[in-house]
Amino acid sequence: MMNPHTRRAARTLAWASLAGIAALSTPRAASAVELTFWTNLTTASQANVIQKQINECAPQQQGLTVKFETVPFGAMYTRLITALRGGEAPNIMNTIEGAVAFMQAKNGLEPVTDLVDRLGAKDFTASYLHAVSKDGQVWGLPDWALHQEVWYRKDLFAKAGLKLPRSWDELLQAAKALTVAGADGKPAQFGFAVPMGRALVAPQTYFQIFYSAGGTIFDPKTGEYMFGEQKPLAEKALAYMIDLYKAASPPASIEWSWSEYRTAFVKGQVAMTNEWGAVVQMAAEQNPDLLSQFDVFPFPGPSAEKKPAASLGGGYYYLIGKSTPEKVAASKTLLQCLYNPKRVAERANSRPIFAIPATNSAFESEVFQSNDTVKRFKPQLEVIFKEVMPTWYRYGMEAGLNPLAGQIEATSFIGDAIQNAALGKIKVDAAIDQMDEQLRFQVEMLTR
Amino acid sequence: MKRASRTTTLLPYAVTLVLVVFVGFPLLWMVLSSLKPSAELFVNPPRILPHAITFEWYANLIGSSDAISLFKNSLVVGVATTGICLTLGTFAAYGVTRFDFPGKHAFLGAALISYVFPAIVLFISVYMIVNSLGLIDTRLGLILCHCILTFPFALWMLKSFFEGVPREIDEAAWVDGASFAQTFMLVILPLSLPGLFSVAVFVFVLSWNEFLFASVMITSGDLKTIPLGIAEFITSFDIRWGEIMAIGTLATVPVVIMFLCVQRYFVAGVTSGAIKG
Amino acid sequence: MRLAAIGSGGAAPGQRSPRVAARFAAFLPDHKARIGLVFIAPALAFLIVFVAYPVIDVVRLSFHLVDFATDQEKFVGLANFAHVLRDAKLGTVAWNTLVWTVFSLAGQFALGLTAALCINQRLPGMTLIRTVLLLPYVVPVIALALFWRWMLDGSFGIVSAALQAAGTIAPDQSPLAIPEGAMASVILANIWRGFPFVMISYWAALQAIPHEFYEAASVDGAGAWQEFRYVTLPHLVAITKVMLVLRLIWTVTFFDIIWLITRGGPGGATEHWPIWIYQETMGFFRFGSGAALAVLLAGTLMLLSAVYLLATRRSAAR
Repeated sequence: MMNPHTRRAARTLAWASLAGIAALSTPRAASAVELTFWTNLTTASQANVIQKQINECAPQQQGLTVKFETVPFGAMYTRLITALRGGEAPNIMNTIEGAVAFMQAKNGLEPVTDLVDRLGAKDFTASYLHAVSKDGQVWGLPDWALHQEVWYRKDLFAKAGLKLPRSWDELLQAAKALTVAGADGKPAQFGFAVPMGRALVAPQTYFQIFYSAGGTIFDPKTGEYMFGEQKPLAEKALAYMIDLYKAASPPASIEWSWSEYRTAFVKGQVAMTNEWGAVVQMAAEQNPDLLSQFDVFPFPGPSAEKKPAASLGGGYYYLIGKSTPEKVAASKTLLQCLYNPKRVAERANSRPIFAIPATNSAFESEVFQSNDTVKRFKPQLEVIFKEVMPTWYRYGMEAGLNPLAGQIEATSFIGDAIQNAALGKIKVDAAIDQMDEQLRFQVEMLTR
Repeated sequence: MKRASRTTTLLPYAVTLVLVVFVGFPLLWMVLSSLKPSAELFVNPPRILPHAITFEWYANLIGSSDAISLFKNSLVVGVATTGICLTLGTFAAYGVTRFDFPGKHAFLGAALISYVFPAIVLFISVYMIVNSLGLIDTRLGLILCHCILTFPFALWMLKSFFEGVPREIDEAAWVDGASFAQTFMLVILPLSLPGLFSVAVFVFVLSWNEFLFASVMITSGDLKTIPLGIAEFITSFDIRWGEIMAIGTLATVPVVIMFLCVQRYFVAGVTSGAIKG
Repeated sequence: MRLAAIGSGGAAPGQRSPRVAARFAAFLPDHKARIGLVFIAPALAFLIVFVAYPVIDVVRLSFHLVDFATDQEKFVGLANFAHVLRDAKLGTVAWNTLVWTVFSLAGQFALGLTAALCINQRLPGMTLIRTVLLLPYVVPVIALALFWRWMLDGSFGIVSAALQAAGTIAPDQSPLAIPEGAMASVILANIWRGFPFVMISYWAALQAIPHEFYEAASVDGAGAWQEFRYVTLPHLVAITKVMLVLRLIWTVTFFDIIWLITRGGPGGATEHWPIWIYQETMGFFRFGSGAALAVLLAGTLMLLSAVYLLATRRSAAR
């Protein structure tokens, strides 16, 4: 008589044989490909659009499964580092330019130049391709085009009888005019928010000003380090920023991040702010009555005669990780499907005004133009698309991809210099010297 | 007999009142904020009581981020981590306080060494180990990591609690013929319940809160823990205040309920007269 | 008799076979050490595999330069250490770490002990109060940091509003934008957050003090203060010793709360050693430098702990 153990062993053997026979007798289907797909867009309304589009596009390739993941931005670099160490970089990533530079420098990306050509290079706004180009190749597909410009209150301008500022000086005057005290002597309204949060925000504010005057860290054509030769310009920009802060910005803004300065604008505490367009959605939620008073103008250059040289921008891109030829091909096919104008527009519409499609076809598409917010802010979008988006840089990436951008963002050496200058702890020229010294050091380390 | 003076009765209450206000005010603020609609969250000067209440943040939370799975995962990982740490720790602490063997002090010191290294430098090596065990993206992998983070503390705390249990009790048990294992489990453990409880609290809360290892170990959406869920409300350009206040409130509630339940059992054990001879 | 009164289950003494008792008597002198090792064996195994390896790896890394692009490692001896020790911000960061630690610990222990003494009283309602006082420790740090930051917001924060009304800071100003204010704010947040741990540990120790001691003291006519000094305090020495070392290590290496509230600003005023490590490791990706900083920190902490424990061991009457 079989004891329980023997019975169990026999049963296992039987199942195993059946499974084996089943596996052998199934005709080999087209080998199943599984792709891992990461996005930094963790907000449900944005992630769901991407997921939906993946579900539409994946069936086009037989046997394709896509493992979709939202990765919070704070965890992105740690995840990338461990993934690379473990030898399993994700197949498709939807992330911002800093991570593109990081991955490319570590040799973790497949170039997407052929895909860009297939989709039509001319359709993309050139500046977004330039930012992720290196060694003659393009390393990311521009998805969300990000942009910075001055958002201001039409009603407050009208009340003070102000015209749109065309130079730094005019901007400062307007900001001062709009900084008014209330009946109790305490400030009731500030003219211009100058946020200087230590990580990320301080460089974003400073470089907006620096770029408008024609300064860059690297020469956009030759890639040579230029910041050190532009110290007078850099100092002028920093001095202007501090003047603006002292004259027209709430004192606490020295440590403000995005949330704070956007709230300040949306709640009517400041009349103008240098911003990415997120205030629209924020106001729609928190202060809808104010929305009709929002308008934009590009951040001016130092003098009224010349248009601003450039602004600070950014973008969300789609990257393809290095992998087997099979997976790379599958990724490219999937992305090509995700890149028809309707889908590009859909993704941008998940965060309207903040995200603008980086392709002309998507911008002009019915899907994009019929969005309610887009319709409402059409004049502003035209200004942004035509005047701001064509000329922008990301700090460190003026000549194309460079991991310096990620380092500027992830560390605070720029923010520290700026904050200390604003606090009066060091002089403006000392601050610029500090920045230059550190930048040089970093550039040297990276090119070694 | 001691006279119960007014001061001895009132003083603790007065002091605790101050403490409760100190503790309670920010918490109350968090709960109130989680119920305020957007228009009321940002008001200058700030108002304490809302004019209107909304449950939309809670609705958003429960609807979108699958809050139930977040809580379940955090709970499973937390309880398992606590269990493993307490088991390993109590055995080890008993061995260290009741016996002498070569290398005892080295063992104790070594346990503490990992603690002086912040997690941000250790995580890559730990990731490689867990990866080679094939435990990435599993709850077990994360539990292992949390044990690494909490075990040294558990060991040291338990050691000091066991030191507080007089050896006479052990010896009485041995004299009565109990084995070391029996003495340990039936005599010493029940007497150190207060210590066990406080270590359990510490370990559980650390696991509950932990973000760095969770962010690299867990990749699947349905295995995410609460801190990962909260982080999703902070994108690189935005902070969703309402949802964060709501999830902060929600994350506190189940742990409080758990404490209330465990406390009753624990206090009963201590006051049952076990210590009295 | 005693055994029967303690715990539940287990064979009654009378049922024990005399053979077992004799066997244990024989065991004791020879095998006690071995049994101790058996008790610690699982923990030891865990430590060796999961704790020793990462630590050794970090120390090893501190002597190497890791190439950013290729992840290749090159042995550079003490170069990383020299680099960080020559860094201009060494002094500021070390000072910030000291201030942060000393004030956090002082606050947590003072508050924790006070709270423990209160909740230890068998008065009605204390159970509920004890639970309430535990809450700060339970709130996720990330949520706590964010709403602390928000309460200190210059325009909408209730704490800033109070400070502005009192005239201590300018209108629309936030303490977070002032270097000293930022440090005070994060320390306060840390005290708020950490004191329950101290409270609960002291409370456990207080609960373990046998009542006979208090009864004896009151029979001798001791007042409340004398009871505290001669009965309570001595029993708290052991737990204080351990907690001090543990809280010291934990506070010095606590990264999250400062990072989430101020990111180390403004102008580096709240940047402590762990934030510096973070910047080197996850900002510049200079893993070797980050490891060197970690080794320096670890070394200092170990030295401090060792000195402290050795010094206090002499006074421990065991």
